[in-house]
Amino acid sequence: MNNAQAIAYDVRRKSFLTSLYTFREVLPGLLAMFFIAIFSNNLAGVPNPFTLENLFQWLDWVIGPLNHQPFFQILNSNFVWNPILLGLIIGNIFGVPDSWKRGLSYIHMLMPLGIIMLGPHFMIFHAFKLGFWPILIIVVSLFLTATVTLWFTKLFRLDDRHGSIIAGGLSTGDPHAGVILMPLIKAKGYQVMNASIGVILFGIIAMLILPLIAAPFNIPEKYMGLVAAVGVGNGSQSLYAAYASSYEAGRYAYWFDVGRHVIMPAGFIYVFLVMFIRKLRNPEDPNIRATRGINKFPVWLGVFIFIWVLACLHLFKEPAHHAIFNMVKWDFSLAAAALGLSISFRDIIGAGVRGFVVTCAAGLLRIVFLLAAILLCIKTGLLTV
Amino acid sequence: MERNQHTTDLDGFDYMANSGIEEKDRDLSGMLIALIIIAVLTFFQYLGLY
Repeated sequence: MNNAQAIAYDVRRKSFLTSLYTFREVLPGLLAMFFIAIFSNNLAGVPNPFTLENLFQWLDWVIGPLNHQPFFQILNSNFVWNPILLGLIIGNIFGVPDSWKRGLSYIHMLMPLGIIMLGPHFMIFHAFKLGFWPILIIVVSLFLTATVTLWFTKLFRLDDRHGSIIAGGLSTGDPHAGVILMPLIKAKGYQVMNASIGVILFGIIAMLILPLIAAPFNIPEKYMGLVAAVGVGNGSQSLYAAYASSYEAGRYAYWFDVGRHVIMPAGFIYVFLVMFIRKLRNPEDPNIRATRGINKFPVWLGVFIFIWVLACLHLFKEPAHHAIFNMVKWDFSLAAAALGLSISFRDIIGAGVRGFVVTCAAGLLRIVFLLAAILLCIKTGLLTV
Repeated sequence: MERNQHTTDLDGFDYMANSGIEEKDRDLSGMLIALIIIAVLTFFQYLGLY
């Protein structure tokens, strides 16, 4: 934010609600977000069949499943990516009218809103059925992947905001975790897009090579499912790799995927904390840009953690948890539309391929670690076949 | 400095910029709305409304 903008806000501020501006100012931007959202996703309460989600689903039926997985799911089509894609196309072809911009600034209100409402989605007890050693492998893999990615970021002299987004996306296996990390890291939109494209591309490479790399080791089908669930990428890419190995491995990948999913918040909170502490320790270092501008632990992140704890205590029963998640889909669809509109293709390409190199280096190391850990656990009897 | 056509209007307002008091106000608005939605949906369920 430039100084003039900050001063203009301070002058007009009456209460915290001033950040919502006037209805007249924000209406065009809100309508733009609304229409991009409802033409991207099938959202609760909107009976619109002409959505990008439905188009991709229809194309998936034409293409047919690839190792039991829909092609566009492998490409990470979901309620975050569809509106980003539509926003990117509209913004880059037709431009973004100035009259939309006040309304589009609601993205900054929608991000903490959506992240807090994600809390009830992650019930950690769902993973307890997996057993101690598989859970330990999943947890260690998450923190190790994030740490190694941040280390490679330093080694390859990549912008630390860009590297943090990669660390979040790669370690959690959800490329859209990068979008969640964006307000915490203070990353640029084009860095988020470049990083996420790299994570998705690496996931495709990993899903193709993992069955080939693992074949000589004769890993039992059950644990091949575990390696695939944790070591590849998004859910469909992981399942592709597991099914490519064997049908049973694919079924087990579904089973182990729960473990990866429920600890996802730990991944992006960890990346934020590491970068935040690093910045506090090096306040004058110009190379440390991640979390710059955040001086205290964000209150809304604390609220998210509190809600997550309540979810783990089963405060939110199934119907409430699903209803809240429908609101999350609405929220992120609107925010992602504004994000897509803000990014130019030129900036995404301008961010270069260094991020992709970091992703591949960290991702391949994770596969090696997982194979070694599982073989060791089987040899020592910690994992039973 | 060149104006980012995607995010900045002619008055210099950049919708992707977020800092200072304005950021705190936006965070507070988002947080309150989130808590209200979660509380209402959970409360309705405990009342057996769905």
